[in-house]
Amino acid sequence: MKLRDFGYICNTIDNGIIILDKDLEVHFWNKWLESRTKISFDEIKNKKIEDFFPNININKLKRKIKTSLSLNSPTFYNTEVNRYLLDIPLNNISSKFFDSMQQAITIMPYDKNNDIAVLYIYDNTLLCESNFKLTQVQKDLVNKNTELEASKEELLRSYTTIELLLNTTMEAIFLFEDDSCTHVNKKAIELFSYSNEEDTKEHAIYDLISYSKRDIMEAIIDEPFELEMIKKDKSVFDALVQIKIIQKDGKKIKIITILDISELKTKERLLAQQSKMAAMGEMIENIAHQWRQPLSTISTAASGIRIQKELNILEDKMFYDATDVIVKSTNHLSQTINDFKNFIKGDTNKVLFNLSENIKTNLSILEGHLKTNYITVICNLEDNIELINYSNELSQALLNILNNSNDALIDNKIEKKFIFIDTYIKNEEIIIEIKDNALGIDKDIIKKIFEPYFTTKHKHQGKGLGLYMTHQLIELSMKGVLSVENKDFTYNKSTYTGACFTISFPLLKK
Amino acid sequence: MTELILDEDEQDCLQELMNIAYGSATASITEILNADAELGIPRIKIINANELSAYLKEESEDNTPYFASVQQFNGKINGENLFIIDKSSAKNIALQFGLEEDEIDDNELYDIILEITNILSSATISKFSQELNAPVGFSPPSVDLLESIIKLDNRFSKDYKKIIIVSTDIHFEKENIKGQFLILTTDESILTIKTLLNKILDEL
Repeated sequence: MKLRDFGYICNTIDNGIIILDKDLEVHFWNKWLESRTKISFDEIKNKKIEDFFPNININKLKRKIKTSLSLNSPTFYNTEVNRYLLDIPLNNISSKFFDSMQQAITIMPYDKNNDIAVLYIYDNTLLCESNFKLTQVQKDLVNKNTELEASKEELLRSYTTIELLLNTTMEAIFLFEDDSCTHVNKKAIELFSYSNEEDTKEHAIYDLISYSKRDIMEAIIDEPFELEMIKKDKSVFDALVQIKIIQKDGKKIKIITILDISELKTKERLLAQQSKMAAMGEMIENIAHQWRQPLSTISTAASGIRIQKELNILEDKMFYDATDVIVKSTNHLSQTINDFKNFIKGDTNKVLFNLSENIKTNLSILEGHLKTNYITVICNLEDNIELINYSNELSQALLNILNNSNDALIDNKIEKKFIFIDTYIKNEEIIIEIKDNALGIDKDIIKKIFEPYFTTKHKHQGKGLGLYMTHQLIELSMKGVLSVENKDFTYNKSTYTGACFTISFPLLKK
Repeated sequence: MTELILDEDEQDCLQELMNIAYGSATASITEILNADAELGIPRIKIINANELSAYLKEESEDNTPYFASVQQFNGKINGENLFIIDKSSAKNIALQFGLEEDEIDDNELYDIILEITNILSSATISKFSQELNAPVGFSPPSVDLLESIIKLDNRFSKDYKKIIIVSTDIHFEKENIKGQFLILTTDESILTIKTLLNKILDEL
């Protein structure tokens, strides 16, 4: 096969080919260049290239040609750096990114002896456009990434804050997603004495409560309730538990908060004991009052018959009368002891008892005390009311309220001191109303008097501790309701003001 | 793996060939730039590819912007030339190239770096491959400006197991210019070089 001549190949190749000497005079200019530059070979032949392309950096081009000739090796124009050698305007209208054709150029030695080089010009416009688009996309991506990073940081900050909040709370918190534990806070790990979060999650909640009480966990939602819980070392403590359930992203999320109330419970027990001790002190005082009269009677009767015996004037009638008095008085003393014993003996079972008898017994215990303080008790009791409940607890509650009235009447230096006790049935409820004329309770504190430690805060002796225990006895133990209000009322045509405590129990169904 | 290491004779022979190649490069640069260039005696080292970053870090200053230019060569021997030069030295080269102070911007510097890379590649590899009778062709070089040389991290290591580093410092008369020129060759080429070196050694 006969090879075509140099011109044919040069004029059919899809690149620009220029043959230049070191002074930049053009010796060849192929058809590709003719069509793109609209400059014919005849026009440019033996002319200097810069006359047609004045923007060419002559020094640079000369240097590259010299280097190529000197090294007998290619030199290059890199598109990214130089963009183009020949300024050839682009005619396309749609999606135009560049005004001129983007070119890559390779310079090779052509004739070393005559310092002539050949330049190959490649149209890199499409490639540059793609690069340009890619750069834009990359910039967008970087921007989006920056936004994403900012959101992530914001999220992380919120998360840290929430985590901080969760970890500084007094409550242990367990989070369940569809019944598997996903999060626990530090307090939860600490409270149940586990070593780490994973360990705690593994034993989540159901291992921490006794088997018999598990139903409670399913039943009580949104309301706090008390429960005994088990630590890792199997020790048990009292806790206040609350369960909340929320639906999120189609999942059931259960949040269980647990507050350790064992210390509170211990204090409460101590408080109850202290309260009982105080009540016992008062009882002993009352017994002393009650015993003085019969003891004196016994002493008088005994000394009377003894003197009569010594004088030999003791008659049988006198002897029997005196010993009767002594026996009667000792019976009375014995009864007082029984009342006292009943009072201090804790109730184990609810029993059926008569309300007015219970109140009368309590009044007899307090009788001496009240008389000493010149307090008149006016009872208006319905005789046939019966209760099935803890009678001694009711006694203790009533004595606390009566003592409270007693203290208020003395503290407020009331001249004519009254305590009114009424019992009646209203709207299927048994009502016990105890009111005094001690001017009532300050309206600022009336709502707080059933709170524990209230006395300590206000140093108002006689209110608080006793009344807190009274509230606990009536509401928690006896399942009744205790309330208090100040009342104005009339008695014997005089108007009085005082506190009125109301205890109510559901009527016993016969 | 042991085959990828040059023995003492092979390393000696390579050193000699490189001395010739760098001598020729020095002459070419002097001629092109019209200035006395001095290329230090090339140091030859074979390292594991993953040690390149540590090597470059040791040879360069921390937190200094560097131009890193690479140029591929293909033939019986394949590889890449890597030219590393700090920004202030690059500026001095530009002045050496006849540019005025106010003409020098990043774009001009890129072009100068590309040219110098091309000159060094052609001068050294052409001569070296000629000596080994293994002609090569060159692709156009490309260049990046790096905030610090450690940014080059692992760019090459995935392609190579072992790298022959032929490094030299370049100094120009009067001007404070310091650059490093490295020739990185592929594992396959190391074997080819070994064979060619042994052929030369046998002929001696």
